Amino acid sequence: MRKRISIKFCGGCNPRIDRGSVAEEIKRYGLENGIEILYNSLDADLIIFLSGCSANCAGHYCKSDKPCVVIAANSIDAIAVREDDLGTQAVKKVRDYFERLEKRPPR
Amino acid sequence: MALKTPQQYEESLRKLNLKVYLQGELVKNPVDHPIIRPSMNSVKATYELAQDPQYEDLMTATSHLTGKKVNRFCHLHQNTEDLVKKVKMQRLLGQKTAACFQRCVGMDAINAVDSTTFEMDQKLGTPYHERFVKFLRQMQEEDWTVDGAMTDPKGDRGLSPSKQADPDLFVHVVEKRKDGIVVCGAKAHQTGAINSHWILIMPTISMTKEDADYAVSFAAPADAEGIFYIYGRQSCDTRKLEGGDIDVGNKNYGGHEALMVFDNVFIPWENVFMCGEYEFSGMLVERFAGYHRQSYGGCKVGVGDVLIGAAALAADYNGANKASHLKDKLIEMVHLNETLYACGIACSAEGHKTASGTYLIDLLLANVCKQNVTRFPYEIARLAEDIAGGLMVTMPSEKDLRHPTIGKVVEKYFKGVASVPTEDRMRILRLIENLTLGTAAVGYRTESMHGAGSPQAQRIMISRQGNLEQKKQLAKAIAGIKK
Repeated sequence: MRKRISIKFCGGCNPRIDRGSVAEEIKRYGLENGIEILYNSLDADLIIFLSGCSANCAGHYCKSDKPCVVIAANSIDAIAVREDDLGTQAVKKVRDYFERLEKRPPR
Repeated sequence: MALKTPQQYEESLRKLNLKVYLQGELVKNPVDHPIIRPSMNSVKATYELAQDPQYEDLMTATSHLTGKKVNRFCHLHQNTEDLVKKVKMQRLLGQKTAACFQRCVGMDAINAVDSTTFEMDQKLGTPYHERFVKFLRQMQEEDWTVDGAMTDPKGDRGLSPSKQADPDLFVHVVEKRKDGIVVCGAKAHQTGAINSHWILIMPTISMTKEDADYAVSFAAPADAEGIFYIYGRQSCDTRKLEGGDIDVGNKNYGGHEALMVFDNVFIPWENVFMCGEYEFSGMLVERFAGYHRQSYGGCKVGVGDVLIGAAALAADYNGANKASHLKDKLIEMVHLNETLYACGIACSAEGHKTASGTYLIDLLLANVCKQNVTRFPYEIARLAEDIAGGLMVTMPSEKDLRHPTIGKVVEKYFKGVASVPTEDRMRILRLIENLTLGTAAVGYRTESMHGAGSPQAQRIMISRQGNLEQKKQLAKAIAGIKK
């Protein structure tokens, strides 16, 4: 079955980063690797909560137990990342997640 | 159709038969009139951003009535998260339009009418809440822009509605029929009226028994028989007729107000939500005003973001951006702007559930928010003018810049930093002019003062809600005073 990533945006009221370009990099990676990209859905294999500031509204108001990556301003999963490196690091997180998944022994 | 596209919104306006007078003439086509059009674009942006995944979290909500996705402007706040998101949405739209996007008055009106009619029905056994919910369903389904209309012309401020020399100075019921009521009067300063599908009328003050005919709330199509509008003038509005795009400051977006006149307008009972229940008029006014005072902690902040950005660019283009006093002024502007935002968020986070289930903001904090709004945008505007310099108001026109001979002179003598085109410098100065003393100053300055109630109205509410007695007790306890 085709893997699916959902990019869940915050509302963008006062973004400190360019959310669109980060999303674009993730989308490009998805397309190159046969991963379907959804927006603002909580029904996916991996959810990217993408918020423009540290308030993390994208994740804050959602109830989901799905695996996720939290990008909030210039941080990924609470670790500071240079803004110009956000897209690359986010893609790395996504790649690492799916690689780990593939290496996991079948149940 | 729970969400209209921007194109569908524009087309739906074209189908209305609005009677609008502007500068002494009846306007044939309000949608394309160059003075009105930018304000329509601002409302259209509320439809546009709702379609964009990057903004839909703020711009849309799930209807508690149908479970469908609706535009947040048609939504009743179901929790404090909704109240917070409302403020964030308003900041976003202020940033995108640098103008008043007008749709908040309807959102604030539906939230106030919902809880008030519910409580009124509980106490008096009236049928208003059910009627209102029916109207709200249709509003959500059709994604209407609704103009929430409260402010009457008010005539002699020293007299109650029923004591006025002219009874029409407050909207009132002139006839009650089997099938509905007939109303006369007017609502002044009606934001976005020409860009609305429907209007939702509320009384303007707390009424007494003798003013019962003035305690009236109802909905009507914006083009109902007997309703007409007189468009409000704005400073520099005729620049929009000149055809350029620099001197207007903000070519695409704007706001508007109009006088809305009711000349014996028939309203069927199904659209009447208050008719004579004067003891609930004060509750409706207080709640609508509270929501609208919260609103300003979002929209004015978004416009402020643009003005601060414009001032910072003006400093860059003048080559003065390294001067410490200019940096400090920009910091002060940000500080003031974020203080307004903090108040908008605070009154939302401290909101509570009303009997109908709709959430209401903390009224004390909402009034503190708006009281600050009557002051801080003025200081932000003053600092922006300080940073911009006098050229903002002495600069030649766009036509001079484009002129084959003197254009070169304008280009030469109004250059700042060599790498920045003179035209860019002129554009940013005109934007600051637009926001501080042009068409957008209506929304950013005077509306900040008087919109959602003049400063004294908030001070009265702050006095009522301030809990001074408890503060006295605190002081006594600390000072060791026993009585």
